[in-house]
Amino acid sequence: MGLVSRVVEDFGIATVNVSTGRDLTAQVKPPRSVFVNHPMGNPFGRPGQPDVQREILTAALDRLEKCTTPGELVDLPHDWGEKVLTIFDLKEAFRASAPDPSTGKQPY
Amino acid sequence: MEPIDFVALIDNYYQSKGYPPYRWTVNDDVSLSPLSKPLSECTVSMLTSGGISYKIAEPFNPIAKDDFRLDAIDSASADDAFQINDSYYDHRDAEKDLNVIFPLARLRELARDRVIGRVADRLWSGFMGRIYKRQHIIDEAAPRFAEELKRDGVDAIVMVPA
Repeated sequence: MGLVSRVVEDFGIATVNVSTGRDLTAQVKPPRSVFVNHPMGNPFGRPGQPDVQREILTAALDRLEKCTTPGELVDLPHDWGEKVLTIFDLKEAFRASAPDPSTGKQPY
Repeated sequence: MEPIDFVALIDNYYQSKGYPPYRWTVNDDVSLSPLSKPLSECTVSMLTSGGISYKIAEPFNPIAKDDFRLDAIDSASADDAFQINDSYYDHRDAEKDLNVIFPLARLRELARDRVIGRVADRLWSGFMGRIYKRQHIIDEAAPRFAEELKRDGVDAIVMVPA
């Protein structure tokens, strides 16, 4: 998605990436980014926490006005509070499988 | 807590599978297009690559590679109108509350509160992970996407990779 951001920005549209993969974002270098040390499925926090969601979204939008250094990646202070799991920790739960045709949901 | 070293994790995974080493994209520089007006006057869109689609639409292929499907999302949609199909991240929380990955309701609130000017009519879901045809993104898919954003008068966009 960092590549998409770079192209969109070249078309004159300001972009900001909300990253949970700090090293991945740093090497692709989108125009502006914030890093949140959360699991990949939770960039804006946990369910039912609209205040946290709004805070992180606002912090990302804030970069659109404040960032003057191309490629800048700002670390947000939010902490997940427990070990951040990745797909590699969850391989069993997320084994590749077709979605259930009746529900469109992927069986866990 | 230290950020996860995804590069090492993925390199090790490829190695353990006997695949050739993953060829990372590494860019040294990038240019900025600064906002031409205050954020409070800007039209803002949002893109997720998290395999999110309307329940009434085809699900995204959860194990897709080089999937260039791009769905337009009506920014007035209800949070519970969506399904998520992507085998490469844990989306159980997002299924309970879409706003943890695609904060549609929060974006609308920020428009109501005049933090942003307005939410674009169309938000977007696409550019799922595991796209290996990078040149196709740069030359075709991303420019086409940018043209769609221009059509909606989008000044700025929040990009949420998953």
